[in-house]
Amino acid sequence: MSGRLTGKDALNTGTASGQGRAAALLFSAEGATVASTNINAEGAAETLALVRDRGGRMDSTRPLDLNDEDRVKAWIDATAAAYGGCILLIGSTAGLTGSLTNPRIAHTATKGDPLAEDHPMRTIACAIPLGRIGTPEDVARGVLFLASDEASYITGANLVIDGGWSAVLPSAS
Amino acid sequence: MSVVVVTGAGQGQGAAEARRLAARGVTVIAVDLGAEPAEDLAAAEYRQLDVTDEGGWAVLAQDLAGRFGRVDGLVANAGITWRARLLDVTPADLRHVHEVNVTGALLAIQSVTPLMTHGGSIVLVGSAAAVTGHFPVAYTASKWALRGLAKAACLELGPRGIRVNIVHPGYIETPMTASAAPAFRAANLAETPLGRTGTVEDVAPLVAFLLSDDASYISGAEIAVDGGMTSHGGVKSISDAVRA
Repeated sequence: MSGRLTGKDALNTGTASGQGRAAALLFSAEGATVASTNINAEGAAETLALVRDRGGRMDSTRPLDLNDEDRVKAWIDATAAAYGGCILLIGSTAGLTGSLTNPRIAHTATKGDPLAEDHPMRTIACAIPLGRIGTPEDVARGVLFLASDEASYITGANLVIDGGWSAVLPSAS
Repeated sequence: MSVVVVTGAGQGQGAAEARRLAARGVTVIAVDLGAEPAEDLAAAEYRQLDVTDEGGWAVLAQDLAGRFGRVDGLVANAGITWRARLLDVTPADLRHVHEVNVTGALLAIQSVTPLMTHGGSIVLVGSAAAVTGHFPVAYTASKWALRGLAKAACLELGPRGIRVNIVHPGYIETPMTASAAPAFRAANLAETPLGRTGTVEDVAPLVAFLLSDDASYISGAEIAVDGGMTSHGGVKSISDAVRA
């Protein structure tokens, strides 16, 4: 499938690396215009280049402190004025219907290999039923589903993306 | 994903799931009680099967092994409701509902997973009643039991690359819910933040997503597709009452 977000604008907070970058790449590939804001200018520029190299539409111009209410509002208003489509907010929450993705262990570039003998996460990682650490793409695909029209009756839901870890280890949640 | 078994697929939600999967190019084995499906299922292969019939499952599994050599997905959708309340429900009622809703899902899992030789995905169909204290006690108890089955299956089957998840539909317009009193529908609607009841086409895409590789790290999860009904813990009426 493709074009699952055609006509939508995705406000994506934090696209400089990891899950945010994966989401920006996937959302733009599915037809969304991605408007992002970041603190890490260098990483943000890399993501922007990756998206545009693949023919995606993205704007990543504004460094923004998400605690600054006035500037956040200005960013959203400017995005709405510029693109005018249906707006999705992608941070830790996803979509107009407001469901939450709940990634528990995702393997991002900064964490090393949690399956390595000397890694403090190894015990937890070995308890995951699916036997592997999650990736940013695993999370991005879940976010994409919640953001798409396929999830139009899903709201208030908690989509856990953890390879089954919390289902078998209650203390994990 | 190539071969998927859907139970309770003769009508309503199961039929919509079967059609959705078939439209994605999946070979769908749609099973239900009737000699013929109650709805159009031309895109799927229909098989008559009582999900509580162990012998019937063995025959189906043998047939699928011979023809396809593998099964990639299972949607344990078959279920019945039973609206007797706590002080009226009989042990026989409880056993009957449990037999269809829980034993039926267990037999489906036991029969199909040996054929999931390349990994797989299993979706159980719970209910808003699986996460709340809903009045139809036999139905509610059976749906809570399904959550336990999903978690245990997640644990057991994960190492084989088989994912197991459960979805919790809210009030969905189906032949099952149509049999309830009108007040039941109205009361559900009043508790649903999105302000509308669901349709089978709201549930089917979630099931298809969980069966697909897009959900390849999702297992043991419980996902409500209920317009927000169970997310507010019953306080919507309070919120509505005090809204200025």
